[in-house]
Amino acid sequence: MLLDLSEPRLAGCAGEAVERAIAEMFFEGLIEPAALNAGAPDGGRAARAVVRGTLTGMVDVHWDARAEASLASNFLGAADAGELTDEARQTVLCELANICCGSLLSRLDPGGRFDIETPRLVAEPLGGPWLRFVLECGVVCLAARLEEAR
Amino acid sequence: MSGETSARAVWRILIVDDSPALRSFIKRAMEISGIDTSRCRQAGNGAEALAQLEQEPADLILTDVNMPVLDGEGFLKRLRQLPAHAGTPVIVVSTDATHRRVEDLLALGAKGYITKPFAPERLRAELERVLGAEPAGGG
Repeated sequence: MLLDLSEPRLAGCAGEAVERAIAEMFFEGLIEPAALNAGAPDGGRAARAVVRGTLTGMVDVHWDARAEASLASNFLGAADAGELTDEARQTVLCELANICCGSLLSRLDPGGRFDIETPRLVAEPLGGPWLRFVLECGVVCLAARLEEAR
Repeated sequence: MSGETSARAVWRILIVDDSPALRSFIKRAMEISGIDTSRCRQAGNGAEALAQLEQEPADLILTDVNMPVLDGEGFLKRLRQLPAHAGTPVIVVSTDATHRRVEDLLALGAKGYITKPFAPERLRAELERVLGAEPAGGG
């Protein structure tokens, strides 16, 4: 069975995972409840975490340029986003994807087992639906495609 | 205050994770918590960690699970086979909070397990629980 964020339980787990990650390790909070959007986000960039195990598939995390500057700075403790190299920003986005993917799967399937490949940036993110998280500093989005391993 | 200064030993902590960003976060989280990180080292996977440990032992190892070359489980198994390092406490830091993974790693000898995401205070609390409030040595 193929799961995406139109499945309420998956969307709920994803929402909790992202909100907690953003709060505890990126020191930001949502300014409005997360909302489901049909289309892929514009601009910015995305990282993908590919997962294999009792559930197999991928989780994409996207951030816009404003969110990138703030969240990368917060995560790495930089006083100014200008201090950060592009490579540093990319590694932070990949780690955000890693954290969100693992946290989501641990909530969705706590009795299961999974391994996450090292996340990578992707030029063409998943088609949707996407969960949209509006922060004061910008917007973060997440999409997922999962299926039970045969 | 008598004016004496007491030399505080510094923990030799080895951070093992394939994400440079996460390694930086952990180091910074320790610094925010008041932990001296001057003797903190980093490795990108279990194999690099073992190579570093051959040069200098650690008082504590923080390790991820999903890593290329040698993952967290493989690293723990190899560590336990090395008499010089078999007793080094290991805390796992992972996104994976599934029951089986946690059980497997604790059964391999991990002394603690921190699930990402985590607040810096959680890291400090776990370090103190495993190592005690002050470093015992480190010379």
